[in-house]
Amino acid sequence: MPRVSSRINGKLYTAEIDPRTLLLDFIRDYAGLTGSKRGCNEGKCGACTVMVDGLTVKSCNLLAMRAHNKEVLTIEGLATDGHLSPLQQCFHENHSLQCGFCTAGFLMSAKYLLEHNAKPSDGEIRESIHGNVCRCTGYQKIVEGIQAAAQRLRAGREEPVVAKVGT
Amino acid sequence: MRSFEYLRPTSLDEAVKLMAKHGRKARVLAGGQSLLNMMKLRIASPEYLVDLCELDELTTAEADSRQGLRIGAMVTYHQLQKSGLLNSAYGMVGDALEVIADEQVRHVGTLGGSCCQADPHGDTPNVVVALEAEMEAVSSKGRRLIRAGKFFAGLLETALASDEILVNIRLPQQPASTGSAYEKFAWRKGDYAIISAASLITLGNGGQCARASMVIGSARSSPLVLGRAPSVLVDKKVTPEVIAKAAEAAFEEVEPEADAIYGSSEYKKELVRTLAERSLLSAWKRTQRGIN
Ligand SMILES: Cc1cc2nc3c(=O)[nH]c(=O)nc-3n(C[C@H](O)[C@H](O)[C@H](O)COP(=O)(O)OP(=O)(O)OC[C@H]3O[C@@H](n4cnc5c(N)ncnc54)[C@H](O)[C@@H]3O)c2cc1C
Repeated sequence: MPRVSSRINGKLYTAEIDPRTLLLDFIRDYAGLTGSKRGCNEGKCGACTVMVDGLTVKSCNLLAMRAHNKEVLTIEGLATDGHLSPLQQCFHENHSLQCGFCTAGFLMSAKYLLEHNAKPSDGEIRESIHGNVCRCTGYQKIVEGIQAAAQRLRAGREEPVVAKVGT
Repeated sequence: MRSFEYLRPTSLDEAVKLMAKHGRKARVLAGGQSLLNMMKLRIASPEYLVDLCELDELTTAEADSRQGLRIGAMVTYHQLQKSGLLNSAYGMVGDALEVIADEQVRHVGTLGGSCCQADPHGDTPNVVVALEAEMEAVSSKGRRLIRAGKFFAGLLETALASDEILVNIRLPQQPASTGSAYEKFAWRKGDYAIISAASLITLGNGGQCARASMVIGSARSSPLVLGRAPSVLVDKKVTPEVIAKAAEAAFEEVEPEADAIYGSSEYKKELVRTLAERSLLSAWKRTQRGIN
């Protein structure tokens, strides 16, 4: 069986795997990080979105072998020291989630957008998340959450932390 | 997904040898954005999967003022979008990349993979045919160039032999004052096209149309090259009225296949007219910026 060695959220995971293993299964079953969700398993819904070497991908449509010797970032890697990132915090404050199943994927796509465009228009935000589906159809609030995060990141000021991971 | 042996050659030579050895039992893996889904559904069940991801020679693209653009088969949509290589003459390629799927898929999917997939509703086959690309393939028997017009052989079929690997897509250099554009219609953004149109116009010195071409996508199982519609433009001074006439000719010329998902032939025929006109207008606009 081939050996895969991949750094996920800074931590190295090495395993011998069946080559059929999808990156999503490697993340969930081998690394035990279950924040990334399986929606459609066809690369359409975006609930499994993670970053590989800084680019967003749908982890259900990529072999885990393709993450060999690469850096993977999942939703669990966004918070630092138990504090939500500004983007997560803005999703929380703006009610940018309902059932929450799609949220991890949306956050990864939004993170990618804000890394490349500090001042996106609403249109650009919608463009950047069109590979993610929200079955609760809460898109308006998601756009507002991302817009708020863009503003906060631009202002560069640390907002008081209201929510803590795990509380 | 059925089990397979995963092979990861580090040189093209090695990949060619693996394909020669395993033949029909092997499949090449590019971005996997189509192949993995086919494997999950067991529509494809290769015994050997030859992953091309470490073949550096397939991941570069370059422009040459005489030869045009050479795009390695493993260059991703995203890399090509960021390359700065797609000027007005190749504008239709940029248009097509923008409307394929979504950002996540474009980060992984490749130009070579999508051509080899030969999906009748795919976007890239239309633009490589319209630009008269040459597809460069390699196998243990050697290297050969296949004209894009002969490459697409019907539903999910190409002219490649089972052991051949597509290595480059070569887009010939276009004359100055050439503009091209691609327009696609789908119900939702990023869906496969219901109908699409790729148009190219080259202006002569007097501002008249020296050359035009048009390809309609999704109407048939392979890109459809039109004859009459572009000829309406040639030798005329290009105006919105002449373009509307050419679009009308495209409407007359194309008989799209009806299908259960996207609707009737009549519906698609109307789309042909609209998209032909839009793509010609946009190509024409780009001829004015056509510095190559
Ligand atoms: C959600 C979603 C939406 C999509 N929407 C669109 C869309 O709107 N428009 C569109 O055009 N496409 C769309 N696609 C398909 C996408 O463009 C794929 O990337 C493309 O069809 C295949 O490219 P790939 O690099 O992923 O190839 P793969 O899936 O790896 O390969 C496809 C086929 O080509 C063969 N192959 C690949 N490379 C070579 C090579 N170098 N030599 C020989 N054979 C080779 C493989 O063996 C396989 O049979 C979509 C895909 C998804 C998942």
